[in-house]
Amino acid sequence: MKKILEITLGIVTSVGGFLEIGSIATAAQAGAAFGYQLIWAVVLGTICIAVLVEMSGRFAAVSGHTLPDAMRERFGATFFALPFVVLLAVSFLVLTAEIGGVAVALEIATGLRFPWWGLPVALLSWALLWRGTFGLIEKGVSILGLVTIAFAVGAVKLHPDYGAVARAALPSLPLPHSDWAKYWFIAVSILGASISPYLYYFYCAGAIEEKWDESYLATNRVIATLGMAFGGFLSVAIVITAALTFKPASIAADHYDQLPLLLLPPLGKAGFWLFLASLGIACLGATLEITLSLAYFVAQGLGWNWGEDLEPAADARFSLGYTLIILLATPIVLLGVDPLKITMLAMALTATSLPLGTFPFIILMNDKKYLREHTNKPLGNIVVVLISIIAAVLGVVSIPLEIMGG
Amino acid sequence: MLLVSEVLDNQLVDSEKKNAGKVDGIVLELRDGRPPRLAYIEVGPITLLDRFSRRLARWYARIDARFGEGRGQPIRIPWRQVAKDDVNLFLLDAKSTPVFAVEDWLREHVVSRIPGGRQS
Amino acid sequence: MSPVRSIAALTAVVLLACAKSPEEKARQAAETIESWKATVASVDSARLRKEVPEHFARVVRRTASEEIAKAAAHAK
Repeated sequence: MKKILEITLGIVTSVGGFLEIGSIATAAQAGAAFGYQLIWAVVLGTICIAVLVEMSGRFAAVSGHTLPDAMRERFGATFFALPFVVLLAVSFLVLTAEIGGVAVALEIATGLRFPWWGLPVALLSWALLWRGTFGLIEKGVSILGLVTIAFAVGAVKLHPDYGAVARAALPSLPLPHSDWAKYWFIAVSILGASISPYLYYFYCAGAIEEKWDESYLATNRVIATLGMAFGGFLSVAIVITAALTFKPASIAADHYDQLPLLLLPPLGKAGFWLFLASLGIACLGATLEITLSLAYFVAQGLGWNWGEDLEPAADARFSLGYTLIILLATPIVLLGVDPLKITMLAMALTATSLPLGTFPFIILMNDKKYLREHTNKPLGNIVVVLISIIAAVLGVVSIPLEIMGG
Repeated sequence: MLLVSEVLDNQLVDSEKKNAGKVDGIVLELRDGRPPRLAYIEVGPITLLDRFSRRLARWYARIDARFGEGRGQPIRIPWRQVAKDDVNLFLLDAKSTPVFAVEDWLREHVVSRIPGGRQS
Repeated sequence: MSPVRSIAALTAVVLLACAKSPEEKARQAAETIESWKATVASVDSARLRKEVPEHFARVVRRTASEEIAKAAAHAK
C-alpha cells in the first residue's frame, strides 16, 4: 500500500518537473505555427527523458552514488569540468526563465509589471528551500501542479481529430511552403524543453534523499515512465489546443501576452485563470527543482555535505550555494529581459549541449562497478545516444538560422 | 596495489559517514627500484583549482590564508589517516584536519545568522 | 589562411546565405502584424464576454501596437 502511494506521488512529482515555461511556450508556438505536425518532437523528447530519468533512479538505487559524484570519480575532475560548466550555465539560464515565468503569470493576473515580481518570487522560492524539506516541496508543488490538467481538459473539449494527432506522433518534415528554419528551431526547442538534464539530476538526488535501494527498481520504472508520459501527454494537449485556437486565428503565440488566450475558447473565463495558475505553479516548481538541482550538482561534484532534508546549518555550503544561485538569477528578471525570449534560447541551448551530459552518463550506466547486474540494456543506450545526437545536430543547425531570421 | 583511479576524485567520508570532500589531489613518493607509493592525499579548493589554473589556485589561497593559522595551504593528509573498505574512503580523525574549516565558518558566521538557519 | 580565419570566413558566408531576403522579411512582418491584430480582436471579444480582466485587455492592446509598429519598421 505504501508503495502504491509512493508511486502515485512520484508520478505527480514528475508532472511538476516536466511542465514549465519551456514546455508550455514551445508547445504553444508549435501548435500555433504548424498545427499537430510537431507532436513527434514532444513524443521523441518524452521517450528520451523517461529513459534518462529511469536510468538516473536506477543508478542512485543500485550504486548509492549520485551522478555528479560518480561522474567526477569515474572520469576525473579535469574531464568532468567541461560538462560541469556547460550544464551549470545552461541550467542557470533556464532558471532565470522560470523565475520570469512565475513573474509573468503574476503580471498578467495583477497588472503589475513582471520585473516587480522578481524579488518576491525569488524570496518565496528561497524561503521554501530554506525552511522546507525535500518531501514537503516535492509533494506540495506536485499537488498544486495538478492544476495543469486544465490543458488536457481544454484539448478534449475542442474535439480534436485524434487520428490526425496519432499520425503526427511520427516524425515528419516541414510542409513545402512553411518556414523551415522556424520548424526546426521549434522542434529543437521542444526537445530541449522535454529533455532537461536538471530533471534527471534532481530525480537522482531525490532517490538518494528518499534512501532508495534495489527494492525500488520496479517502482522506479513505473514512476519514471508514467510520470514523464503524463507530462508529455500534457505538452501534447497544449500543442493540440494551440493548433485549434491559435492557428486558425493566426496568432503566433510568440509573446507571453498572447499565451493566456490559449484556454479561452474551450474553458472561457475559467480558462484564463487556470492558464495563469498552471503557468505560475509549474514555473515555481521548476524554479525550486532547478535551484536544488544546481546546488546538488555543485555539492556532489565537490564532495560537500548536502541534503534538502537537513537543516541549513547542517550543510552550510550547500544551503548557501542555492541561496547564491537564486541571488544571481534574480537580477536578469529585474532587468526586464523578456522571459519568453530567454526561454526559447535556453531550450535550444539545452538540446544542443545534450550529448555533453548524456554520453558520460551512458558510459556510467554500462559500468558494472556501479551497477553490478543492473547495467543498461542495448535499447536504452541506443535511444539516448541517438536522440542526443539528433538534438545536438538540430541545435547547431537551427540556432544560427533562427538568430539570423528572427 | 592501490591504483590512482581508486583514490583520486573519490568521495571521502568521516567516521560518522558525513561527506568530507573529495580527494582533489594525491602525492606520490618515488622510491629507487620500487614502484611509487601513495604518500599523501590532498583535499580542498586550492588543490582542485591548481589542476586547472595555477593563478586561480593562488588567488584562492591568498583569501583562504586570511582565515587563520595554517590556512592558505593545500590540505595534505598522510595516507595512513585514510581507511578504505569496499565502498567508502574513510578519513580518520577528520576533525584534526581543516577539511571542515570553510563549512564550519560559514555555519557559524552566516547560516546561523539567517532566520531559520538553525532549527535546534 | 590560418584555420581560425577560414572558419570565420566560412561562418560569415553561411550566415549571409541564411540571412533573410527582403521578400522574406516583408512576409514575416506581415505575419507578425496579422498575429497581433488577431490577438487584439480575440482579446476584445473575450473582454465583451467578461472572460478577461480589463487591465489585461489594455496591456495586450498596448503591446500589440508596439509590436505592430516594430514589424512595420522592419519591413522597410
